[in-house]
Amino acid sequence: MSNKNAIELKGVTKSYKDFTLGNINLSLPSGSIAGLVGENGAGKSTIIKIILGALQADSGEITVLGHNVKEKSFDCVKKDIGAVLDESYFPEMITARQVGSILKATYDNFDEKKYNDYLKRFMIPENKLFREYSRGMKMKLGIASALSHYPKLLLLDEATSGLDPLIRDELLESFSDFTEDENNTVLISSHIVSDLEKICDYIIFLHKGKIVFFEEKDKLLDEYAIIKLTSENFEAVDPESVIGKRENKYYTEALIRKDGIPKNFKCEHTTLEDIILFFAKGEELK
Amino acid sequence: MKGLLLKDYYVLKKQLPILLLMTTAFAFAGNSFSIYAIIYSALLPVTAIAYDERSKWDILASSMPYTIRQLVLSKYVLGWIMIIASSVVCAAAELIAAAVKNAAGFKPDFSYFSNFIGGQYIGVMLIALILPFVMKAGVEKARILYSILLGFCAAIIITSRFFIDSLAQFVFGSSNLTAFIIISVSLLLAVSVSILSIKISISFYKKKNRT
Repeated sequence: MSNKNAIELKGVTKSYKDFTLGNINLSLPSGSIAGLVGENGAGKSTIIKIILGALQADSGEITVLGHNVKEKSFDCVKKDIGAVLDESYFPEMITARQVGSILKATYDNFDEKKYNDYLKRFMIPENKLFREYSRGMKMKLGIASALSHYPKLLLLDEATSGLDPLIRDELLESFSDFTEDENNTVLISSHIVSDLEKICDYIIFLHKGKIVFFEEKDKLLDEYAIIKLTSENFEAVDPESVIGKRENKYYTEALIRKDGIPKNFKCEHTTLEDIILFFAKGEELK
Repeated sequence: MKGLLLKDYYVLKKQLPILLLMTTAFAFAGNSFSIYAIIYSALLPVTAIAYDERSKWDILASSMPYTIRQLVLSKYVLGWIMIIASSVVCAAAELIAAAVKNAAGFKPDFSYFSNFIGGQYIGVMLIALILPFVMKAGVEKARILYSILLGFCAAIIITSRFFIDSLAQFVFGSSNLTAFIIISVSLLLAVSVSILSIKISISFYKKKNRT
């Protein structure tokens, strides 16, 4: 099995009564940061739980850091994984200092000094009960815990959601620091596309349980653009290159592949959020 | 598993003074009441699981290098440790109580030991009976069931204090072989029920948390 990919999912499916995660194929190279984006209920948390082995897929093959999650040896591989999961925390009766002691007894490679440095850096009170923490503090403690045992893979499920921009920026910086080591990989799910645009190498767009695209971020920004045209001018655009559009009585705004833009037509400033929104609109029309 | 037990210890730390107080009060009330303190301590794993459920700890724990077996077994071990610890505290508290009451002639007899052993035995059995249901349905849904079980145990203890004493008298008063057989069968039963319970709990835990 190649270790060039930190995560490999082949034909993964998971069905619930009212939701199906369908035929997920994904190969995330080691040393990269990938952003998992999608609407509520798109299946982001389900994918992360499947990667952790916290949920069993109905079918498909899941390989993480070169090991199949179904193998018994995968429990040992988890020492190389750090995870911060949405609404899943340490019990509320314990303090950050006690979390440190628990992690020390859990991970052979837990670095107490590093953990204490993170507590200081993130200004986390050591002796305050977890239940008295704000969401920001809980997430920061989660990240300090996840990073202090030298993981090779960091899985973050909505780790920055609901936090103010200053804290988010601080956390994003710590993720970027983490990938300075080229063997370290991050998979982060978030609703905040601007955060993903800042740090990610790859973007995975999940919509209604299916991957719409898994692409390099720079390639997405190079390949697609927003154009705003009157309805008459829009007729000159190759329909094949239109990904998604929205119309009103004055103009048509569309995301199109750049190679389909007629000459002399001006592109609008295009963000990752625009690309995702129009892809979602395109999917709705299918 | 050390990390898991440490986590549960921190979670239950605030409950321990209550246990100590209860044990002391029971010790002063009379030897046969200690059994309640031991049974209370046997139920502390359920409290720990309730805290785990509230914080969705199991999902976070699935990202750590613990097997499902370790996650489940740690709750049994916690219960067993609590039973031993509370028995030791009970014994100490009763000795102190005897000294305070100036019971110079206090001599641990069959009744004294049978209460501890009976309490420990009921505690181990309670853990084995309750935990699979808690693993399957969660603390809230299993509450009715274990309340019934607890009530049942309390009723047995109250009505059969004489029975426990008599049984102890019978066991220790019997021939060595009969006593040996009775004790062995009882131990074997407790061990078998516990092993079976752990296996069922692992299967329920897997189904509840990983599917």
